[in-house]
Amino acid sequence: MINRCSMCLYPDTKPDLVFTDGVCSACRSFANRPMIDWQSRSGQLLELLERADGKVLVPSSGGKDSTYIAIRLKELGADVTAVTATTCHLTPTGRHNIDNLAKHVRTIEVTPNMTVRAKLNRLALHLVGDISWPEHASIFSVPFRVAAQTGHTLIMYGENPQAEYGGPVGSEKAKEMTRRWVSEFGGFLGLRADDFVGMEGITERDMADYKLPSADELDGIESHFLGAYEQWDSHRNAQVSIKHGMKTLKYPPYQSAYWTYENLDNAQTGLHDYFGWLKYGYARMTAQLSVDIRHGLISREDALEKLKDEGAFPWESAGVSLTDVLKRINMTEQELSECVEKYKNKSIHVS
Amino acid sequence: MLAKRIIPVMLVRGNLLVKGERFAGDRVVGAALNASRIHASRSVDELCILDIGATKEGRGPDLNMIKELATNTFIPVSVGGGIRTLDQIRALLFSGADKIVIGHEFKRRPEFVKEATKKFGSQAIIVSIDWPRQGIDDAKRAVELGAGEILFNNTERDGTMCGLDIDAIKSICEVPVPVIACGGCSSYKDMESAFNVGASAVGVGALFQFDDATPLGAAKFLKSRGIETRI
Repeated sequence: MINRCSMCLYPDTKPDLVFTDGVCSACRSFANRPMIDWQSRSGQLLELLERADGKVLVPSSGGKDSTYIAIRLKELGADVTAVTATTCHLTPTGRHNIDNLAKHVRTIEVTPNMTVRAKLNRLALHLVGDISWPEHASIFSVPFRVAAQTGHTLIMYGENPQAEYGGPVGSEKAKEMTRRWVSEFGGFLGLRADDFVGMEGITERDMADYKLPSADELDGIESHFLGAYEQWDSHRNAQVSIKHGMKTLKYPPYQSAYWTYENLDNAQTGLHDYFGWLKYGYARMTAQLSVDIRHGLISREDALEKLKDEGAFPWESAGVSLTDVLKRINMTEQELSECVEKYKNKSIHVS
Repeated sequence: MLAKRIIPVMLVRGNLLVKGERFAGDRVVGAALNASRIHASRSVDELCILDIGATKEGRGPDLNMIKELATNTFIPVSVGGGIRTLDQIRALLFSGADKIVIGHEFKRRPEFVKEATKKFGSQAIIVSIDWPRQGIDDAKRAVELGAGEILFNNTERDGTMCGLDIDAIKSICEVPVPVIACGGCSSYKDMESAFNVGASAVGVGALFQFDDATPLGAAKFLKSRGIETRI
């Protein structure tokens, strides 16, 4: 049995979400936006850029949000370097969008050993029911490592997830992404890079790509959320990015998604979201529709109606078949269905 | 000297892993099964699963959940939360629990500990002492009644990662049975301090969930300080 926020569709099973009088923390944080002095925040953003001599590193997949950030900061006069941590299973659309970034800013693409990556995908699916664990780890570790190596002192991420999608009380106010933030909210599910060392021949050196640099190496490097300095709007980001050459799909990348311009770059995302649905009873559609409800683009009733497809099995993701996804990580369909059974939350899914 | 133990403590509600602070405001941080599987893969010595919804909701422990968690791990599991009867203990032991943690019922009816240890043996019964509302006298009483182990729970530091209260732990360690020191653990160094004042195990919640620390990392650090663990 799932209880949902009375304003959007977020369920009470969503990790880190807090409810007050039936309303979730994401809706409360959204309602609080007009109280924030955005003009002063935009002044703070310019100060940040100035402090970094205008040099900023933008972790970027070439997707709607990071393309927007790169374009926006460039407009503000910054010297932007986009750094891409290659996704676990890059799609043709994803490839196009990374190349598209290079038409606007300097780019660095870091691709770790993909044989190790495939092992991590399979192991993480078994261990924590999350095929995307290594990707989530690398989108934090890679930019920080590159910053330490290239002498950048400012990294600009997108929205503060706790402000946009809900988090524990107070976490929505964070402007800066600290080391502690990464450990707590980075999506590691309590699993750490060191836990993989020794499994299937994976070495400490292999896992270094998935760890933040030491506190000493990070000294002087700041990482901030652009969403703390200007109002975040996924749809605006998409429009700006499309205008600058980002490619989208004509339909959502998998059946349990709603938007056509999110999660286009990793063919494993459909599977990732399906496991979220197994564990917590919600997936991407709930998150996307909830954003649209808050922005007044759809009524809660109409959105709720659309949710019936959310549990759809991801036979295809951004044009790549599940067979290809499994082949790449050396996993059989039988193995996958065992994982599905293992992670199905019996208190949410009856059969 | 017996090897020291590092025990991940999981707070659960239903199938969800939750984390509170100072015993209040439980925040869903993930799926319980995930966490138990991670700890099993780390070959930790023991796992402690506390159902924090049970007493509050006036229900017993969720046997199905315990069965699911315990059958997916091959490490000893202690289970607590809402345990009030001998039948519940028997059912939990049959569901895969190795030890039972008695907390609330010890406060309400101390002789329950005696009944339980008589029936299932002292080795199967841990009594939880909620510091600072309970103290050394309560711990001693629990041991007199047969408790085989004391879980020192610092309710003011729970989930805060602000450091173990070493003086309080030292005072509880006067009891002649093993003490699991829990509540506020912030670092490997903290674990060392607790072991040095007599704790036989350290219970760790938030640190393993929210920080880079791992049981293996702890074992390596402690070994370098001359403290043997079982990992």
